[in-house]
Amino acid sequence: MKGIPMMTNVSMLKKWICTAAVFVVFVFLSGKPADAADLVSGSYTSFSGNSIVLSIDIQSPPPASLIIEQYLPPGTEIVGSEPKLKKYNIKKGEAKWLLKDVRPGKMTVKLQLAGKIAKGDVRALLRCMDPATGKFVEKNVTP
Amino acid sequence: MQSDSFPSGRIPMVKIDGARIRQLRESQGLTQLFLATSVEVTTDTISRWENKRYPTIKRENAVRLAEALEVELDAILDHSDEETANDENEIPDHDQHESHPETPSRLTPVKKPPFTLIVATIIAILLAGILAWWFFPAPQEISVSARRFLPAHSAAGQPFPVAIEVKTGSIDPQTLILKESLPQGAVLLSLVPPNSAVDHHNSLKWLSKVKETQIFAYIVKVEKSSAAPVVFSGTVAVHKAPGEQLRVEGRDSIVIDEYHWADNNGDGIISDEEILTVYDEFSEISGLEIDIDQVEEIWLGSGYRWDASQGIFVVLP
Repeated sequence: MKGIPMMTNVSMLKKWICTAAVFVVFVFLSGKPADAADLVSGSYTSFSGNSIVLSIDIQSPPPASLIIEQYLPPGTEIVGSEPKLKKYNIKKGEAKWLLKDVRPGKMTVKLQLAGKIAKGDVRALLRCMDPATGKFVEKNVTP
Repeated sequence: MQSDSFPSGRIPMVKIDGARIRQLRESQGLTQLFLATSVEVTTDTISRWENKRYPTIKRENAVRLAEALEVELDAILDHSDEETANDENEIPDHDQHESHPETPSRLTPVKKPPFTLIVATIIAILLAGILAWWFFPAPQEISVSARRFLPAHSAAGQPFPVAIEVKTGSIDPQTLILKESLPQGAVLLSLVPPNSAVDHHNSLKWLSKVKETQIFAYIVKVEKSSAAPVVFSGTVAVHKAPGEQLRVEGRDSIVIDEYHWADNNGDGIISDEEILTVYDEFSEISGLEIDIDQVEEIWLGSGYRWDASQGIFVVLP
């Protein structure tokens, strides 16, 4: 007769320990800072025709600077960009921005092309140094 | 010996040689303000020490004074009189009352305190403890570290930046002295923040109050190329830990060859990773005059080569 309440107490204790463990894991995970890979991320708002619009999300604390490399079909002529392009190799179709004073939040880069390009002909690379770890971060963006 | 440890809470005192202190200070081009800040006393106190108005001072202050003057403690002590004096003006008068428990003349019945009084006393002690913890938190442990950011190589006569990041691990400002010895043949071009003491041996010395993290940086050039690495060295000493000097960690040597300092792997180009590293490590150091335009120009080109005859980098289109 005396064993039954003891078993109940033990199972209750186990239940409490499990609940506490789940709670601790939840608190630990919710407090964990964003992975280096998520420091910057991007997505295309427009990626065909003669307008390319890339939306970039920057976490806090932001990197000191950010390089955006946009790949277009070789020979593609660019007629305008926002912000201003730092470098464009028309033969390779590689456009580059070097952004300083980067702030956390969303930003948009736009390219106006002379001609239309087909869907799937674009991709971009985002490169920066993670301020938390000092490691080089590279993020691929595809439509 | 001139110093003693006094039992029962008496403060160890030493007798100092004021004239010797003045001589050491003046020979190193240090100001009374520098010494006062290092020891955390007023300039008046330094003046009094030098003029022998207070020949006997706390040993702890003498240790800091010797450290600021970069000499052993013994070098600033007065050896003319071997007995250690206790300056009554400076020693806090610690009472050393012995306890004399009263001897009960007769046995009296002991009254047991009421239960509520015991509970109230415990609660009062707990509350006092919580208040003390809240208003007088335990002093933070200071864990100072210093790391040098030095390029792997640079070309002869070309300026390159060096940064030293000092972390105190404390949100309270900590007074520290950072010393950096430049290698022979190195020419200092600029530095931030301005250094604190006159340089006699191509060494830099900063006396600063650092809250959590501070960057000390400078730009130098080394005129002649050499196969042997050019070595830098530095130490950091914290006021609250007298006698302890920590070595500045991180890279301590640079090779003078034909590569740009930002071209970390020496492959003749400045890659995306390399230019991002430049911005990451040096862009937030305001006042440091890095030729960032040249770094960007090389990054935008397909590479560069070192023209030793003209002493310039030629950017390849």
